[in-house]
Amino acid sequence: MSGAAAIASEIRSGGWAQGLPASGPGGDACAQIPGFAGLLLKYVQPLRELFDELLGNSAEVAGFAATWEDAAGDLAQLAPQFTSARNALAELDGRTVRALRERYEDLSVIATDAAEWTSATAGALRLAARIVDATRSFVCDLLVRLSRFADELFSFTLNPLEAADRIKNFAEAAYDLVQAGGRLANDLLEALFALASLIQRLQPLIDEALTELKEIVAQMLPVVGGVIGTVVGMTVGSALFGPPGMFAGALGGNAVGSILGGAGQNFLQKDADVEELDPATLDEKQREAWELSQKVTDLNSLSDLVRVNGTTDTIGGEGASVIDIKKVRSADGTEHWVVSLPSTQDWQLLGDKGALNDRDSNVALMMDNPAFKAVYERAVLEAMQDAGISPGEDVVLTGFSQGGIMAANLASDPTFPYNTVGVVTNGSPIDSFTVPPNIPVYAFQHENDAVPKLDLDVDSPTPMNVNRVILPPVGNIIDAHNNPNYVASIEKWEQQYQAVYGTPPPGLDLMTGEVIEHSLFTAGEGR
Amino acid sequence: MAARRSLRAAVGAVMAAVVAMITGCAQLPFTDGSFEKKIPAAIEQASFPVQKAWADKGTDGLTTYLAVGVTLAQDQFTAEDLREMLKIVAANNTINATQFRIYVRDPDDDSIDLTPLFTQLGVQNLLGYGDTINAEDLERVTSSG
Repeated sequence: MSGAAAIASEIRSGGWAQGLPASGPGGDACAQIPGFAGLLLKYVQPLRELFDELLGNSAEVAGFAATWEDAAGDLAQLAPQFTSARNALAELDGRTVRALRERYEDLSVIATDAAEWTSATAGALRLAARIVDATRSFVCDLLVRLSRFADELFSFTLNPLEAADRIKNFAEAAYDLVQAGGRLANDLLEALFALASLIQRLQPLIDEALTELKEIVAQMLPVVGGVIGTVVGMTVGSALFGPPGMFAGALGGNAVGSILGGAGQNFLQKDADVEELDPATLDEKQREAWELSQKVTDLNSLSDLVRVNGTTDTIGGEGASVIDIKKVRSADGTEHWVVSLPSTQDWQLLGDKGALNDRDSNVALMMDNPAFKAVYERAVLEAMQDAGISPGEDVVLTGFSQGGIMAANLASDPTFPYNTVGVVTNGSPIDSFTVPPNIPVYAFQHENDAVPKLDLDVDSPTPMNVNRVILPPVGNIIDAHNNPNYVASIEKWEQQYQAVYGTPPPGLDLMTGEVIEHSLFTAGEGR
Repeated sequence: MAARRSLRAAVGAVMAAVVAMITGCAQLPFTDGSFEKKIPAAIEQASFPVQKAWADKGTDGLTTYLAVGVTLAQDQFTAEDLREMLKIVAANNTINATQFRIYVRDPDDDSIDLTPLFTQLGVQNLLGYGDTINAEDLERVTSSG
């Protein structure tokens, strides 16, 4: 039995309401609450107050109960649907189908569990509402009895001494009844506190279930995407090329569907644990890159900014994401931060290796969905916070390939908490992002690099703030998408710019300067 | 305008998926990884004394690079020593690398700046932080001297 089911069973047992009446004394006593006049009123007043305190509660509790009952009803319908979906796959076999079947089983367990405690809570709230009503009814009944007693006591005497005795008798009787009513109300409040505490204990378990649910759905997305892609691919392939096209279409559709599903998975994955990089954990190749990154004391040019992207990529590799964050002082004494973002390092060919900047996050970032943030994006935001960048501070975002997509994505996000003063990308398809017009953007692209053209925008005019710089082709199409080759090309471009215009490219002073602080952060999947 | 951008982003995402699939396949790890043992073993037999050597590969964008490092057992390291090291790398490389990253450390584990040595050897395109050369330069340097 899960923790949630155990608490549900405790709630359902009604132990928390032991000794309390679930039904009143019968009749509608509250409809005929009597009036008390003069001297008698002060003895009855405590009971009236109890009655008033209890008056509003039962309807409110009953309202909550109805909401929980609705939720329980919905959840109860889900579990059979998951089982049916799982059974539909029973005839099929293969690693993917087995994985999907297991995920459906996981979902079914969570739905059953949730339906169990939701319905237990609804039942408990109904009981609580009944107890409140019953207690209120008892208090009303006490008031009615006191009223009748008062009528009997004071009906037939005009003798003041006798009246005083009768008032004394009434006061004693009223005291006993007030005590009894007070105890009942007190027990009721204690029971409701006990129920509230039981429901409160459910909260962390509900949060845990929600996290698990997100993870399960995230795991299912690539598989479901693959299945949908296969069907779409088969249909399109068959329609275009007949039976031979069907097979090729299925293969292609499956692969693209899996990647798109994987992109969706990026949005649902839980946050990665971001921590400051410990160089002792690096292998030789990464350590060399780490040492090179430590020797960067000045960023004086756009090529300097782009060069850092190379060490950022190498330090992280396919096993982890690394984000390089430097605090820089410009020539005019103002300070800003330079954040270097990693490119695709994990191609996920034989499963995820760990880097968040993987194949699927490329697609997730290109989707540019403002409602969701990919796990890579969330890690960058956490790293920036951990580096000590305060909201509103000036930042420059740089990145090669997927790192550049991330830079443009952050700069165009209205919820990004920092003041972006520059974006420098190389080899990145960023034309579909709307970077605010006050932010200067340098988007370097080798003429023969196919990757920056993936946004299907090769030569349309860019906004005034976006400098799309087309660099001469380098080697073949593969060589063109390489960070060291970009560094060399940008260095040459800057020299030519200086020679022609006599000044460095505009906006450079906002982005460059002396490095006064440097930290590296790392995060990975499955840590 | 915004709708057009969204549509383009969506199509771009699908294109990115296709390219990611194709380029991902290009990075399939069906390569001969024996260089990881062959190169260090051969460097340890070089004429310059060596404490430790290693070799590794990595990807940069769509390209693959080979990284080789050595910790010397003596302070001196000349351009000809570097040429010998590059010849060993070229002879024992088993992957289709387009760039080569070379690192040399002295006996105190401090890295040695190879820029002047590469320049002496006639390397035309010294890349990265002066640690990277391309396949053409490797071929040029190792086929002479």
